[in-house]
Amino acid sequence: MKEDSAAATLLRQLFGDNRAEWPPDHFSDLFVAPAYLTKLESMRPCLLVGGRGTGKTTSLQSLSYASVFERLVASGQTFEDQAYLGILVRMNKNRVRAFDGSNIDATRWSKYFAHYFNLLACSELASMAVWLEEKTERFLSPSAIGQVSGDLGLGSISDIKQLQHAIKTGISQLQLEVNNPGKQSSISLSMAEVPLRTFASVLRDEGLLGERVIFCCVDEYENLLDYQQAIINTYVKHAEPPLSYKVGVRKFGLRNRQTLDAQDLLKTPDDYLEIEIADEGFEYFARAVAELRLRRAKEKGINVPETLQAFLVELSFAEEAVLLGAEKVADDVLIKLKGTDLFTYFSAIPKSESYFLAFWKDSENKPLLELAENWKQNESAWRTRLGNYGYASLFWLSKGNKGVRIRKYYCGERVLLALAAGNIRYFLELIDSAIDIELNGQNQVDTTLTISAKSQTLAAREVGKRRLNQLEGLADHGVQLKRLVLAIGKVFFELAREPNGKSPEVTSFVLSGSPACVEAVSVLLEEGIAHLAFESDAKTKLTSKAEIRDNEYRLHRIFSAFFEISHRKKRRMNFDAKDLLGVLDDSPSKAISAMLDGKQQSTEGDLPAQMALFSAFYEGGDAH
Amino acid sequence: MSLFTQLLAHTRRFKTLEQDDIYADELVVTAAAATENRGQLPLWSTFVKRNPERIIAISELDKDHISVIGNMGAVGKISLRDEVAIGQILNSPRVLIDISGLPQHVWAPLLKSAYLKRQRTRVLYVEPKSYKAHPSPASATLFDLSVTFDGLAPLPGFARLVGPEDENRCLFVALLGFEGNRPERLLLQIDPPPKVIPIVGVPGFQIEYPAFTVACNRGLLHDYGAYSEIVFARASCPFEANEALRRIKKSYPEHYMYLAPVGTKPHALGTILFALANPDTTEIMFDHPVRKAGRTTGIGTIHIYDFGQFDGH
Repeated sequence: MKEDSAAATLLRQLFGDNRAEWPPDHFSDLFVAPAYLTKLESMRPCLLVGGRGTGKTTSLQSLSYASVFERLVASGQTFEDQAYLGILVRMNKNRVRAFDGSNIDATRWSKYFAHYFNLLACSELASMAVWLEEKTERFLSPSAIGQVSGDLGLGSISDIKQLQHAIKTGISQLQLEVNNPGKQSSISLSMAEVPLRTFASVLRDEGLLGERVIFCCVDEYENLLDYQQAIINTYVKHAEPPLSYKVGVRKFGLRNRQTLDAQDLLKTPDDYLEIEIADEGFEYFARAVAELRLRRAKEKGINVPETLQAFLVELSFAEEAVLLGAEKVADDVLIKLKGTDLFTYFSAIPKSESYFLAFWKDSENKPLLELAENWKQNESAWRTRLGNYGYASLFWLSKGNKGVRIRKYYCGERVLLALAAGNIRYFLELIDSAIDIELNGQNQVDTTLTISAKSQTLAAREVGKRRLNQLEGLADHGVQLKRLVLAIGKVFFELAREPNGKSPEVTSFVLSGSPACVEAVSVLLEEGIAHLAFESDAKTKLTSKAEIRDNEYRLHRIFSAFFEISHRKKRRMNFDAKDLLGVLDDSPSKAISAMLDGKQQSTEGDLPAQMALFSAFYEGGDAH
Repeated sequence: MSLFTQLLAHTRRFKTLEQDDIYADELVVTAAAATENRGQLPLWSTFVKRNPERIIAISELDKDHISVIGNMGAVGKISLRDEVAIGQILNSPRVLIDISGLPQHVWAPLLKSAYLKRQRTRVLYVEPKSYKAHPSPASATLFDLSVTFDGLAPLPGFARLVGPEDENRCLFVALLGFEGNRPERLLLQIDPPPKVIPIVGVPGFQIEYPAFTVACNRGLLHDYGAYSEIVFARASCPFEANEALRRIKKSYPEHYMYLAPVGTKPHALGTILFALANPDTTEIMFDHPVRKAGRTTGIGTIHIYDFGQFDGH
């Protein structure tokens, strides 16, 4: 079967939008409900917590009144079946930071910001009211609109369109005020919460709402200043039917649990339900998203498998060992055993296993013959050993193989899901890049398209490289975070190639050293976790800064293929926080050397090409 | 008047600056202290000694306030959002603002005040001889210019609360410099991502600088498909930068323009003037770098840009 070039292009388009869970034009067509959606749809206020690209915004957008209606219609239902109506208010950093400065007192900023939030939310509610009027053929009375406009400090207004216009004008006036605040406010300011409550009430009382509830979705909450978080916390804490709040926040983004009444803290589970996206069935969701896209591709006539498992080729341990050169190592072992009675024994063992003898010799520094004899006498123990250290030995296999393009494979559904580490955007980007590499510029798909292990590996490396380079553009301390990632990745890379039987698959670390240094590095790592440079163990539940100081950290798994290290969580090591701070200075090579206890490092020529690009950093300031 | 003639008429360039180059009725506004050589011209010391009434020196107290020593004595604390107080500092028929040693969040409100009063204004900028290379670069940004960033926040007096009418009709115009991560970081705050139009300083301060600029920003240019959109404007010329922005606006008359002045100061100057002339359809995005001491060396060409009474803006 030969598809036309448009088919291959379509396949790339289906997986090609990595910014959101689906391309905007196919919102309802490609929507897959995340596992936590039913929790999010409950009346309780929710805090939706996840790193960048975990789908927070997409989920909040999916609650919007228009999106829900569109999905209902697509499934043969009607407006009558709609249980809730969501509006979305995004906390734009460049705008919320306007409400800050020592030129006026904190109380006044607080009042200005609450007024601003009221205007933004009521603007969305007004649009929703217009939509509801159309759907229900009921109309808000002039007095109801007057109540809302009065609570917003906009004077007497009786028409919804006029209200929308007045809100815009109100925001412009507030803009003038924050740009040049006088000794006293020159505009009427609304009270925190009140206009939203009034708006929700009049919509219910005048029959536009029916039994439905309103979800005020607040996205990018982490952009808010601490005092602004206290204001929104107050809205959340005091939420009552028919109004509830759904807040999207990056990990560690909730920095302040206070409300406007400082004694009254925002608590979970009393005041809201906390949904940590990473804990909510990511694998099931990601598979469903990808397989729906495969089905859409198939419907359009592209010859692809229906399951992700079939689409992404997986390698067995033995297959990977052979591809990485195990046979050559095994042949060398056999040459050394020639003339002994062990030769026949080891000749019968698959080369994808017998190479392991050379690995163990390198690791234990014992004579090959002694180890070979031991293997023969203790088959079961060696089988266990192969099970425990076989994966780590795959990294060793490539050592010294200069110029080899692939020194470790990253492929198969399970591995790609692990690399994405709960991030749907990363997952789609991995598949998209792999498709791109597999097709390699072709526009035609001749046979059933599957993605080879090689294409997946190159894609994983490419995505890791791209994410690493983007890191400095993500966070305020992105430059420092990138330096930390490069240094820690280099340490793990070196350890993976020098297993010595003692430190195979070291991928995590804890901090030690002076409290001041640990604190400084922890703050950076927290920012790194929020921006997907690092991960921390599950005991870091969410937000409290105080609780995470003794955490175990690891590089984000999306960097595994770039640094050619294990994506599995196995063993941890200790880093002196002082050395990590040293990486940020002019001479990172000294700090990296200290982190490796002065161990011999790979030369620039031995580094994989993608890492060698950073030799100015690795050798900068001071040669090894 | 053609742009070329306009530039000749409005820009003067010097190797060293003499007293005669300053108008007799001109008030000089400069930084009280500078971490770079070029931030303190020798001529200003002469002014302080001989004509103290004609020079005022500005110190940054915090990100919202400055203090001033000058013709009206020492003024303790002035809010950068207080238009009246800033207007009083620039109390002269003509002003010359030396922006070389002043951070953007300080000189932009001064310029805004002069602009709103249609005051006769000249701006002075001293090019550095060179920038400090990073001893161990981890990225395409080869220079060691900033300690850290305070993060995205409006410049005083330039806050926008309204935003675009249509989020799908927006441009992100980045005036590029050597720190490629800066425009990317700003751009990530905008959702959905707008079309990206980069402005590169060509000709640059040095012949190799335009190539450096493109190299340092290759991530942005590649990821947002912006290579084909690059617009050139002389790195040392606010008029060319301003003109480039006008042309972009002409090509996209319905679009809301996010402006990221993260390149040269003359480009930032042209951008601020453009934002002042188009307040409803532009939004400045700035990340407030904390500059490294000694990030530049030497004194290069000295430029004086004459904006008259901002008639052309």
